[in-house]
Amino acid sequence: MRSDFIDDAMAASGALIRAIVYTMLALPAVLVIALSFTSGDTMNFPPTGFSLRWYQKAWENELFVTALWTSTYVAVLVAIIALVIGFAGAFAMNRCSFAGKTFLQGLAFSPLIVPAVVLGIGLLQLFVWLGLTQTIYPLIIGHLVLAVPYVVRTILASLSLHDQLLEQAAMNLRAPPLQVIRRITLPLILPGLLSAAIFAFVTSFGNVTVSMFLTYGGNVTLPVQIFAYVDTSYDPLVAAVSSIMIIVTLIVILTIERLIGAERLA
Amino acid sequence: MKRREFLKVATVAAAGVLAAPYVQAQSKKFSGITLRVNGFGGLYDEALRKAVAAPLEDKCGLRIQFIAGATSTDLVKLIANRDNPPFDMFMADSPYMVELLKAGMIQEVGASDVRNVQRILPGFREFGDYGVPFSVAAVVPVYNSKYIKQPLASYSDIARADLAGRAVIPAPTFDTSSLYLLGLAEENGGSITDMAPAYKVMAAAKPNIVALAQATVAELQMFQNEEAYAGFFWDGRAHELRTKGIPIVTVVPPQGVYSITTYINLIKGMKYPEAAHAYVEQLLSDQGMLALPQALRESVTTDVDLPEELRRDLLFNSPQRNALKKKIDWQVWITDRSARIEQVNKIIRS
Repeated sequence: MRSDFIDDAMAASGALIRAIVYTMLALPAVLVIALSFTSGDTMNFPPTGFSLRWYQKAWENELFVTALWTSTYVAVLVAIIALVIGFAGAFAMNRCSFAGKTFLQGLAFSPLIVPAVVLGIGLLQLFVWLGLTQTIYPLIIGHLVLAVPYVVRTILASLSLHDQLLEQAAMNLRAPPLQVIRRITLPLILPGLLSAAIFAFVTSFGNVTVSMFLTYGGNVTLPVQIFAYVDTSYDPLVAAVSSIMIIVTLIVILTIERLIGAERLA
Repeated sequence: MKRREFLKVATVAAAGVLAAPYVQAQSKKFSGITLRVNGFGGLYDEALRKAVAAPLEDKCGLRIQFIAGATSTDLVKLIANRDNPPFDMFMADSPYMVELLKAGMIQEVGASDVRNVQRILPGFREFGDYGVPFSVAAVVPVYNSKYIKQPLASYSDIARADLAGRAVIPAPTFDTSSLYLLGLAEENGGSITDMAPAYKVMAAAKPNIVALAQATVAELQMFQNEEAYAGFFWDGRAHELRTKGIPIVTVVPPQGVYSITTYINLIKGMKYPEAAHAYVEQLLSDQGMLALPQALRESVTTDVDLPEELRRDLLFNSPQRNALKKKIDWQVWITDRSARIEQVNKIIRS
């Protein structure tokens, strides 16, 4: 009887904590989206009236539209390249024993330890030395540095969890290593690969700090454009543009979820 | 039509057709040139685009590209890329000018280069011939008249007992918005090299201060949501609040006002100095000069005639007001930044 009560209390408090955590996570995005539909000129909650005019303004704003395009293609490129590098790195770490393996593991996760501002300045200096600053490459490589640790970690977890007996069976049947990877390993860890791609996309798409140092000319990303905008202007246009960012991110996640199912992605 | 007449008309028409491209080329003498300028974002760039860049493109084909970013990171990018600068011109507030000069990356601009430089008001050019000032923003005491019935009159009034738990001030981490500390010092017998009186007032004001705002937007929101009734804020942003129906009053302290000036600079070794001079000329013209006051109510730096509706709203709107603009030794102000941050943090967080 007593244990039933304790179990119920634990379950109820667990549900309450979950509800608070989910609310706190979702609330900022919900507020921004709600404010973007205001018909007023100020960012006040609750919004006054309903209007799509701030979305229309965002769509007509060439700077924001260009920045959205830049952010999207940089994030897509970063997700693809990070996946290739991350898979190669994670596979080597998981399957091979070699000198300096621990060092490589540490190196793969080191960008997570270095503060983003320091990383931004460091990368800027590196690209100045390489003479590449006024190209798109610093932005892509900078975002890759940020995204690869997440990709490596996610794929490493997938590789550790899947059953290697299937690969060994394939090799027993004389399948060459590349064919084993292509036909056995990759399909088995597909959910992990797609989760890693989402991590990479989101990391790149929402980054401000490192991008501030690495953007050049017309290649300004959307978060940098928003950051500069709010410094001098504070109107619901920012909410509309931010909502578009949230929607783009959600579309990417939901498309992948549709393709492979949420349970496999988790 | 007689043959002779026909020949006359035909000759004139042919000459016109032949001369047209030449005339066009003369009037669009900067056609094909794009100058890159670091942007401040939002309404600021928009105002400059409309009143400076667009007319210039119409007149002489010069294109201006404003690249959004933060001045601090843009400055780092500029100095790091010394041999291949990412900007042709650089907009910078007074404190950043010190860094630009130290880096030796900007060139002088005189009246012989840009005629309108002669129109700059006395005392508005703080760095000799370096940097052309085009806008001024002041950090002043403000209060919400709906809640604060006894008007504030000086920077030191931030310590008044009736403001308990209702004041917000910018964090001391910024060289620009923390100028109120200099106001507190000089109003109480101190100076830029003796800030102790300012810290004394800050200690007295501690019960009043609910937040050290880390960003202008955060402070704006606190005033907008009436979480704070008084504080130190930018004069232009206080006007923005008034347009949104918040009765924020801007105080002009009689002992002096502390402000930053925004400069446009030509980067040393840039390819098209003549085109950049044309940009600066347009920026200092009546049309260019009124752009930022109209959009953001930032004060002007030239002798431009202010329309009455602007004169009412601008802080520096007359010779008497201009005389209140305090001179600041920016080199000293920047050097002592860490000491100021440490002192204010000690006071507020102890």
